[in-house]
Amino acid sequence: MSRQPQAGHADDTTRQADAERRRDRRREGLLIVKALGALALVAAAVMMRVIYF
Amino acid sequence: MEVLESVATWLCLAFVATGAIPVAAGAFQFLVIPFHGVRNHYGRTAGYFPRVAVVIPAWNEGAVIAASIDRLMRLEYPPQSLRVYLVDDASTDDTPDVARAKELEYPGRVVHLRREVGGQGKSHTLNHGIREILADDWMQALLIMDADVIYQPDSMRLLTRHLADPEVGAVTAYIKEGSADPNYLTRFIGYEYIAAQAAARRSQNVLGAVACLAGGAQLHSRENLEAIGGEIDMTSLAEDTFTTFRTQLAGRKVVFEPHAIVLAEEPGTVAALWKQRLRWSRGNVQITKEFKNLWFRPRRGHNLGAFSFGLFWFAILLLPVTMVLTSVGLVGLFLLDSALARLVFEATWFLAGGTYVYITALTVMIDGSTGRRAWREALFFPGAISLLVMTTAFLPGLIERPLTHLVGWDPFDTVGWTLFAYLWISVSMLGAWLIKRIEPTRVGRWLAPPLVYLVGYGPILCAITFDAYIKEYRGAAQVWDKTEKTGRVRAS
Repeated sequence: MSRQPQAGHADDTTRQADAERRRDRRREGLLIVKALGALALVAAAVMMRVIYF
Repeated sequence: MEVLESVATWLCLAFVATGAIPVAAGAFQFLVIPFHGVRNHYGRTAGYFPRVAVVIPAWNEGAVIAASIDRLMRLEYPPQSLRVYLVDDASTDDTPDVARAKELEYPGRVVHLRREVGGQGKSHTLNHGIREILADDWMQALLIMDADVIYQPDSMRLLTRHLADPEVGAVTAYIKEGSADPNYLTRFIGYEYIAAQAAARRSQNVLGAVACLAGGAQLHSRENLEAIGGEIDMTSLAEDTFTTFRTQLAGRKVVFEPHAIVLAEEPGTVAALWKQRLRWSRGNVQITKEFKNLWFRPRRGHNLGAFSFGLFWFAILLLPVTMVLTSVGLVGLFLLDSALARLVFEATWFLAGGTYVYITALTVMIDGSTGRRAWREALFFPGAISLLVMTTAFLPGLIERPLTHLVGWDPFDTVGWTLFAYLWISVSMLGAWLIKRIEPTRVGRWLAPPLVYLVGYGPILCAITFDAYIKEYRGAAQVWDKTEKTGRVRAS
């Protein structure tokens, strides 16, 4: 089975696929920021326990 | 006597330790998620538009099928490369009429296949369609979907781009709860789907073994479909998980695409949820037995035997067992050495509390739109009672001190509360079962929602898994209990 973009649409298809790939990689890259935010909340809860309880 | 006491203490400690395993597994799984930013399949994707045959099994889906087909016809995908096969499983409603009307409306793009004798289940219906589709060589990829789901316009090409990599056998999408008129339960399900799909399946992508291609959105390459026998498993209640395992055992990758979004209508009552999830849980028990030689045995060619995959799988499957063991262990320790029991209890809930905060926060952030709608359900997922227990263990004094000021004594510093807290871990499942029992009554209809927030949505899922053990042990009839759909999926 041919896995190349269909003739005539090749340039547009490639451009769109590249743009979407960049967009989705960027979105996935944000996961580290979100995870760090969530870990910061855990750290805050633990600090609260250590300091106040 | 001392030796006996010592053995009993260690046994109780071991029981309590089993409760920490699913917590640790959950923490590990969610700590892996950010690595999806660097370890994903996007580097091997390309603009690729294979000829896709969409197979939709339908039994009495007249209320939902027209909208689903219309949305498929409007997908941002080359029209000449998309064909819909509606397999009507001897429907007795207006499904055949709707299907014929759509055939006329979209000539050559919608095909109506009718089974005159039906009722054998979803996989038989799917295989009827797949046999027709495989009979000629038009199809290059096969999308299996449910009759009620709505695909976002770009979802198909976001899925097909992964098939540009010949090593990929199948791709699945993010099934998002999409009821037009959501209630408390669909919001719980919406949150659950972020955690179980958008979050957990990203970590499965990272670790190279995916547990399940969603039944409502699984795209297979033709080569993969033929390699797994050209049909869907008909022996279990989890045909989608079976197919996922077969694909990976055949040496092909399965990829979860989180940005391909498919909206689905989900149960709005505990009884309907119970019916749907009992089928899924029984299916998982069947899969565990069917692939008994696979677990924790790493092999070349696939990662299903990896320790991490087995840990995630059994952490969910055996959660009810670990909950009961934890309660038994804590009560046993309380009888043997109450101070040690308290120490172990606080340590366990401290770990659980930290994991709860991390998982809840990350899950809500992963799908912000659903997270904003369902933040209350995210908070109350374990239930208000468990949250109270967790708070007294995680932040001792936060509630107790003001309460002591208020009422003059500390109700949490009593034997009654201590035993209740130890037992609640497992008794919560009984509470979940009681909600299901009272929900159909007139009073129950009003009581069920607050009780779910009190007891928790998580314990309901655990109670259903417990029910699945019993049904499988007793060899209960394998019935394909269809989840009733009414076309309540929102437009976008």
